[in-house]
Amino acid sequence: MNDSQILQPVEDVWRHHCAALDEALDETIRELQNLLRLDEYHRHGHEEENLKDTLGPFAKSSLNLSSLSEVLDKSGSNRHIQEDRLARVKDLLERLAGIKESCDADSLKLEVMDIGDDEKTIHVEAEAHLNKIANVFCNLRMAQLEIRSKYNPAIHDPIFENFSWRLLSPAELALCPPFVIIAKLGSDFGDTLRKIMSLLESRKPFKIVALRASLKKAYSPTADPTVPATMSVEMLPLAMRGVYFLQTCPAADAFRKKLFKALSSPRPTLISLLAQKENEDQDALKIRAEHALQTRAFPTIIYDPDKDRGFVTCFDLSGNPEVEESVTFADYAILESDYEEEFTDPPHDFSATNLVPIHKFLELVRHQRIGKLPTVRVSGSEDDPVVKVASPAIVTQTSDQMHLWKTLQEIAGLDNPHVKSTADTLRAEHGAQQKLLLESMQRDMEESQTHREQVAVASAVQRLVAQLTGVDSTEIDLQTLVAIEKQAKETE
Amino acid sequence: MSGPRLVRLPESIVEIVSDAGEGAQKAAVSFAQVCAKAGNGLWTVEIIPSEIQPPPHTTGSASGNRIRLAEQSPVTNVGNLANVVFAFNEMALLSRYEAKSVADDALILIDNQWATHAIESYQQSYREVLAMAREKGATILEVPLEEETLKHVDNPQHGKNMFAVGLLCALFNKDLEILKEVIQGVFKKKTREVIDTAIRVAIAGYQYGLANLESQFDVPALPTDDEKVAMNGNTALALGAIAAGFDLCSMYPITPATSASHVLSEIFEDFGGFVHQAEDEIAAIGVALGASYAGKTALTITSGPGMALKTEFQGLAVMTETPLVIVDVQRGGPSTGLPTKIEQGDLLHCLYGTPGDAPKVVLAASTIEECYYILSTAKKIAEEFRMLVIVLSDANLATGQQLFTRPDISRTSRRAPLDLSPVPEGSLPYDWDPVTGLSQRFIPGQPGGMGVITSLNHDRNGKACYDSERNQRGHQMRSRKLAALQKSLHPPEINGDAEGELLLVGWGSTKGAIEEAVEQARSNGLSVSSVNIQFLSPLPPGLKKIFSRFKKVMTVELNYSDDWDDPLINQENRRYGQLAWLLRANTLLDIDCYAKVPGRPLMPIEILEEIQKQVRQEPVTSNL
Amino acid sequence: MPSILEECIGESCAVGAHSIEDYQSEMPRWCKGCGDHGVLAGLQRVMRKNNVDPENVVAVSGIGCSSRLPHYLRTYGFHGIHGRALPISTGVRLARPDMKVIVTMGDGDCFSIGGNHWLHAIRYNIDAVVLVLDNEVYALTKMQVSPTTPEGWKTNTTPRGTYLQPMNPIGVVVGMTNVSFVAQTATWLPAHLDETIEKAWDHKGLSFVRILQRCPVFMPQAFGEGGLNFPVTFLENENGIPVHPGLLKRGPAKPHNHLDINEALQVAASVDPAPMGLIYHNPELPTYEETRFGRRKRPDHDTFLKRLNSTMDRYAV
Repeated sequence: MNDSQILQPVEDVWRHHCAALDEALDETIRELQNLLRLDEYHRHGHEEENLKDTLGPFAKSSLNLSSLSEVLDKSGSNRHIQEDRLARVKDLLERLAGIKESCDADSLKLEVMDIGDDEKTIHVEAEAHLNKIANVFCNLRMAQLEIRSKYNPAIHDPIFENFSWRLLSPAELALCPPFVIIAKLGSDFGDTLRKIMSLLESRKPFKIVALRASLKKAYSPTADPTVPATMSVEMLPLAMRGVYFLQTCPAADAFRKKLFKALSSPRPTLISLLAQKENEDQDALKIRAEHALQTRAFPTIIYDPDKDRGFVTCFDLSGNPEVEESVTFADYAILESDYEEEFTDPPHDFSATNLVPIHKFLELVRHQRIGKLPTVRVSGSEDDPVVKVASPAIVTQTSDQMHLWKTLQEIAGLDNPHVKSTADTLRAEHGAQQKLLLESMQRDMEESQTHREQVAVASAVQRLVAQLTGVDSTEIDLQTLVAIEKQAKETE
Repeated sequence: MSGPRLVRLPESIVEIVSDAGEGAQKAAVSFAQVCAKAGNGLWTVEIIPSEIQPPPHTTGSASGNRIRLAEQSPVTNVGNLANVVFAFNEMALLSRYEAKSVADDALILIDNQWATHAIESYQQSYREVLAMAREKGATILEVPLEEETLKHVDNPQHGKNMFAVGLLCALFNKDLEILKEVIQGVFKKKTREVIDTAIRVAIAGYQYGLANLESQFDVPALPTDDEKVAMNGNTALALGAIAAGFDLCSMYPITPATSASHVLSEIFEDFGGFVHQAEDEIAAIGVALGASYAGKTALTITSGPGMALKTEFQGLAVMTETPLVIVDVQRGGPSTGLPTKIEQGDLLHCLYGTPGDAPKVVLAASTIEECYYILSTAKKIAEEFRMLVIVLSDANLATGQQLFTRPDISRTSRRAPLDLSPVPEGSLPYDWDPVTGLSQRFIPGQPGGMGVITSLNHDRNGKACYDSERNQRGHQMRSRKLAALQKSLHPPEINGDAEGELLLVGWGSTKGAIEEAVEQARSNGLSVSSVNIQFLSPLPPGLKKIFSRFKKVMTVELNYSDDWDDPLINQENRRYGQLAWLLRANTLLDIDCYAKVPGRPLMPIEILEEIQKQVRQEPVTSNL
Repeated sequence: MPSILEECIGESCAVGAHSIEDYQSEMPRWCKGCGDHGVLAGLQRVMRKNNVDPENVVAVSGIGCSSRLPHYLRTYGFHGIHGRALPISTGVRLARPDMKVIVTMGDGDCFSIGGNHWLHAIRYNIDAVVLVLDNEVYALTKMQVSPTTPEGWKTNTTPRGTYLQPMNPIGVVVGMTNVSFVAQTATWLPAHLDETIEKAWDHKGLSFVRILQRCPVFMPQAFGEGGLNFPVTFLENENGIPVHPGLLKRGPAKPHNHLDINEALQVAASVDPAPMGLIYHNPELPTYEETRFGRRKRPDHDTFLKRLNSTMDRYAV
C-alpha cells in the first residue's frame, strides 16, 4: 500500500469528522440564536404590532389589540435574560461563527507525520492539533451550558479558561479528526517499534499506521530456532493493554470499515497494514495479501480495549480463515520473490525419507532432526510431491509464526490446554450421566409395561367373575386381583 | 343552425349529478376549476349519496356537486335554486327535485340513453320525470351522452363525465384552453394516454355544445388585482395549521374531518411536523395534550362523536391549564347521525359538555378563508391564556370550495422557541394574577420548575387540595381568564342599520346565506340587519345593547329547535336552537330562533321567507 | 455513535453529583407496608446512579394509589386521568425527545380502562420506563375486582368471589408486535426490584415492567401473603437480572435466553410459578420517535416560508 492509498481512508475519516463537527456547530449556533430570539419575544412579544402578527387576520375585527396587550403584560414577565448572560451568549455566537469559518475541511489540513520525524516535534504538532479541536469542543460545551441555563461563571470560567484536550471525554476524542503518523517497518523493525511504543505511552491519541511491505524478518543467528527473541507487532496489545490495535490487509473482511473504526478510536492506536512493495501493483498486492491471510503470515487482529471488561473478549481473531494444519508460513514464503534464495532443490541422491514436510519437521526435537531436511511442496500430488528445501532462516521464521499464532489463539481464549481438559472432563461426566438416565428410564418403562399387563389381566378376571357369580363388578376389588397376580408372578 | 346566443348573467348555480361512481364529482371539480381559473367567484358543495353502496339508478344513489359561480369574489354561500342541472340519469335528476333544489325554469341537460334503454322501467321513469320537469317549466336538452362518448372510448363510464364538462364549458362560454389545462392537472397522476383521451372527449362535448345549444350563459369574471386561491375548508385548516406553527397533529379518522389530516400527512413532514394517527379518539387528544404539556402546543381534529369521546380529556386540559387546540368539523347528529352532512349541533356540547365547570374558548369559522387564519389565532390564545380553544367548522366548509384572496405567506409569524430558562426562585406553577387569572407555566426541562401537574383540584403551588376555599378559588381563576379575554373583544359589526324591526344572529357557515338574504330583504325595503358571532366563548361585549335596538331578535342556525306550531309545543316547553339558548341566557332577552336540521346548507331564499314572515309585510318576490 | 452535541451536553452538565434528596419531593402518603415505597426508592436510586438532572425527567401517571408516585418524585410530573397515562407519555416523547419519561400505572389503570392504549404503546415502542404496580385489586376506590384478581377472591363488586380467570398480562405483552423489553419482579424482592428498574431504565424503547405488589390493607393475603408462599422462578441470564443466592430460597433459578422470542413466549405463558426477571429483550428495535423524526425535515424559517408558498401555488388560480 503506498502513501496515497493509506491516506485515502484517513481522508475519509477526516472528512466525516469535520462534517460532523460542522453540523454540531450549525445546530449550536441555531440554538443560541433561538435563545436571543426568545429573549426578544419575552421583551416585546406582547406589544400590539407583534400581537397583530402572531394572532393573524382572523377576528381582527373582533379583537381589541391594545386591550389584549395590556391584559397579557399583566401576567408579569420576569423571564428576560440577564445582561451578563446575554453578553456571554453574544460573545459565544461570535466565537462559534469564527470557529466555523476556520474549521472547514480545507483549512483544517490533514496532519500526517512520519515516524522518522523528531519525537519532540511530533509531540508539539500533536498538542497543537488536539488543542485546536479541543477549542471547538470547549466552545460547544459552553454553548450547551448556556442553552440549558446552567453556565455558572464561578464554577465554569476556571474550567474553560484552562481547557485542553486532556479534558475531552473518550466519546469526544473519538470525534476528533485523527492525528496520523506513518511508520514503515522493514525487516529489522525493533527500533521503530520501540519508538512507536514510546509515542503511544504518552497516552496522546496518536493514530500510528505501521506499514509492512515485506514480511521477512531478520533473525540474528542463534542456536534455538523455536521461539526467537524478536519483537512481534502482533503482541503489542499484551504489552500495552490500553492501545487500540488493528492488523489487517486488503484481503480481509470489511477492510475499510475496520480501518475507519480504528482511525476513529479515542485511544492511542496502532494500525498494522500490509503495504505495497516497490514495483508491486494493486492486484499483485491483493493476491499477496490473500496468501498472507491463508498462511497466517499476516493474521487479522482487532484489539479494542473498550469492547468488554476482560482482555480475552477484547481480543478478536475472528477475521482469520480456517486453515489446514499442514499449511505454514513457508507456503507463503515460497510464493514470494524476496525469499527466492531461501529455497533450494533437494541435494542430488538425497533419500526421500529424509525429506520431511516442514510442519512435520518442526515437530521433531533437536536430535531427531539430524540428517533430515525440511521441505515445502511446490507441485505434484501429496503422494508424489515436487519439493524444495527450506533454509534455516525459513525454518526459524516458520517456527516463529506458528508459535505466534498459537500464542495469539491462547491469549484470545480460543485454544488453551486448561480449557481442553475441562471440556474433556465435562464430556465424560455428561456421557456417564446420560447413560445412567437412559438406563433408569428404560427400567421405568419396563415396569409400567408390566403393570399395565397385570391390570389388564385382572380386569378380565374381574369381569369373568362378575359374569359367573352375578356379583356386580364394582364389588370386586381390582387392586386385590392385581396383587394376587403379582404375588403369583413373584413366586414363579 | 346559427351559433347559440349569448346571455349575460351575474351568476349561475349548476348541479352535476350522476350515480355514485360515474364521475360527476370529478366533472364538477374540473368545471369548478375552469371557472376559478377564469376568475369567477366560486362556492361549491358536495352532493353525497346517503348510503355507501346504494343501488344504481335510484334517487339514493345520486352523487355530484353544486357549483355557484359569480362575476366576482367572494361568493359567500351555496345559493338558492339551481339554474342548470346536468344529470346522467333521471333518478339523479329526480333526487334534486325532491331535495327542492332545482328552480322551476331551470335548464336540464340529461343523458338520453334511458329513453330507449333495454330496461322498460327506466324508459318509463325517464319519460315521467322529464314530463314532471317540463310541467314545472324546465327547458330540457336531451344529450346523447353515452352515445357520443362511445365514439371516443370503449368504456363510457370513463369518459362521460369529461364530455359533460366540455359541454358545460361550452354552455358557459369558457375558454377551451383553460379546460385543457385543468384536465391536465386533474389527471396528472395518470398516463399520457388517459390524459389525451380525456381531453379529446371534453373537446367533443364542447363542440357538441356549440353545435346544439340554443343559448350560452356568460358569467364573465370581473378583473381583480388580488391573487386568488381555491381550496376546501379542510385543506385550509391543514395549511393554516402549518402556518400557525403547529408541528404535531394527532387524530383519529372520522368523517368529515379526516381529509384535513390527509393533506397534512402528505406535506407536514416537509415543514418539520407530522401527523400521528392514534388508536382512538381519546388517545388522539391524549397525545396532543401530552405534547402541549411538554411545551409544544398540539392540534387534534375531529367531529361530533369524537368530541364526545374527548370530553374527559378536555376537562383535564382545562383543570391543568394546558394550552390545546381542538378542531370540531361538525356533522349531522346526534350519535352517528348524518356523517357527511352539515349541522351546527355541537355548540352547547363544546361549551358545557365537560362535567364540572370547565371554561374554554370557542371560536367559529364562517368561511373557508377563515379556516386558514383561525388556527393562528386559536394557538396564540391557547398559549397566552393557558386555555383549551375549540375551533368550530362544519361539513359544508370542509368539503366545499371557495375562492379567496391568497394569504400573504411572508407575514406568517415565526414560532417562539421553547423557553428552557431556569424558573426564578419562588415561582409557582399556577401563579394566578388576582385580576386576570393568567399565569405563566413551566415546561419540562426548566431547572427549578419541577412539580406535578395534577387533574385534582389544586392550589397556586400545584399541590392537590380539597378544602372549599381553594376549590372556589381555582374555579374562580379559571373562569376569570375568560373575562380577561372578553375584555379584549369588540362588539360585533352589524350588517345593516343599527336598529330596526328584525335582527338575525348567526355563527359559522350560515353567515353568507344570512347576509345575502338580509341584503335582498333590505333592497325590498324591509328593516332587517344581521350579526355574525365569531367568539362563542367568551361572547363579545355589547350584545344586549345591540339587540335592544331591534323589535325582534332571532338566531338562524342549522341545529334543532321545536316549531311554534308543532303540537304540544308552547312557551314553556319549546326547545330553542343552541345559539339562541346561549344568547337568551347571556342577554335575558326573548330571542327567537330559526333553527332547522335539513342536512344541507340553508338557502338565502329560505331565510328571506322567514324574514318576511317575521316582519309581517306583503311577500315581495325575490330576484334570487 | 452518539452525536457530538449529546456528548457535549453529557460532559458539560456533569458538574457535581446529585444526592438522593434531589429526587425526593413530599413525604409519600401510601399505607405502611405498601410496596409503592420500594418502587419509588428504586427509581430515585437509579436516577442518582446515572446522575440524571431532575428537570429532564417527566413522570406520568393515571389514577390509583400507584399513580400518586409522581407527587413524591422531585421531577416534572403529570398526574392525569384514569387509564390515559400512555397517550400523554407518547405526546411528551414526541414533543420533547430529550425528556426521560417514567410511566407508573396500576393494574386497573393499565390493563382495564387503559387497555387499548397499553396494547398500542407496546407496538409504538416509545422510549419510556413503564411500571405497572399490580396489586390485583382496585385499592384507591376501596377494593373492587381488577383484571388480575385471582379467581374466587372476594371484593366489594364480587362479594361472592370473582367469576373469571385473571388475565395474564405478560402473555399479552410478549405477543404484541414490536415488543422490546418485558420484565417481571415483585416489591418483596427489593434487590431484584432495584436491578429490574435499572435494566428498564437503560433500555432504549418501551421497558414494560410488571411489579407484583401486595396491598397490605385490602389484599393482605395476596401473593401468598406478600411473597412468603408464592411460587416463583427466577430467570437467569448473564445479561438479565442477576439472581443472588438469597433469592433462591423463594424459588429456583432457571436459565433463560431473553433474546429468543419463542423462549420468551413459553415463559410468558406460565403463570404458576410466576417467572421473575427479564423475560424478553430486543435492544435493536427502533423507537416510534426515531422512526417519525427520521422522516421529517427541519427547515429554517426562510425555507419554511418558501415551501409554504410553493404549496399554496398548487391552489392558486
